[in-house]
Amino acid sequence: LPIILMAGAVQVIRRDALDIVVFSGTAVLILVDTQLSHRGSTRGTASHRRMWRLPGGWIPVTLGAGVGVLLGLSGLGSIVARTVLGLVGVLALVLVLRGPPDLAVPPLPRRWPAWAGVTLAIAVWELAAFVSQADPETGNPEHPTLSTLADPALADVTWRCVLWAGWAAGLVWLVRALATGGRPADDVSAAGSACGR
Amino acid sequence: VRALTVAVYAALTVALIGLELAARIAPRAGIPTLAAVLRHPMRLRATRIGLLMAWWWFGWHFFVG
Repeated sequence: LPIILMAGAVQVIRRDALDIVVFSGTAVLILVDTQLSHRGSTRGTASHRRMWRLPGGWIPVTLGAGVGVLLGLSGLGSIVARTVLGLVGVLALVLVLRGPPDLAVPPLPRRWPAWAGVTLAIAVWELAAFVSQADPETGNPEHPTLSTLADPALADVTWRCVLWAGWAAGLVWLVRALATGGRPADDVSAAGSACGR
Repeated sequence: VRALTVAVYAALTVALIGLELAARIAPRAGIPTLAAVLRHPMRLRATRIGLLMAWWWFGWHFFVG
């Protein structure tokens, strides 16, 4: 939640109304979901939530990439892309919200700070680029943000399709993992009774 | 300055790819895959919602924003 609030503060500086709504709405949703989950667990109803089974394997991920290519072909910022992104976002959110309650958190894998370090470095570099801009909506060509760098690539249909495919495949993989609380498929089957299946 | 900025982005991207490759090719190095690291926060509903929103927003921001 603190990360989302900090990212939301950046959107306020950017004066992007939709992004402010997305980030603040997510923060509110997390707070409401936490409250409802807590009430459900105290009433003993949380364990009865029905979790939807999602198909495993590489086929759904590949199909997602294929849809991504089609959306890339539809043009940058097309009405088709906007509509599909909006609908997919709502569907993904429903799948994630129907996922299991909070699960026991295992110890982090050894050497996880390697990932955290690189990710943090990207975030700091991006923030430095953003702060160096003359105003929040005009990129600094000498110290560009990732968005500024990506604009020429996204204007090219081939690169746009590649990036769309990667993002869509990633979304399918992520939603499948999030809907099961990050548990591998065999673990989910073993714990199926706990989710009302 | 621009070249340095782009070089740093490229180096960090290569580092991410390198970590994933190292995790898969040389598991004895002890570096976890990205999926293994993400599984940890995915146990909690709040972070599930946050991760989904973050990925969705990347798509919106870059492709239609």
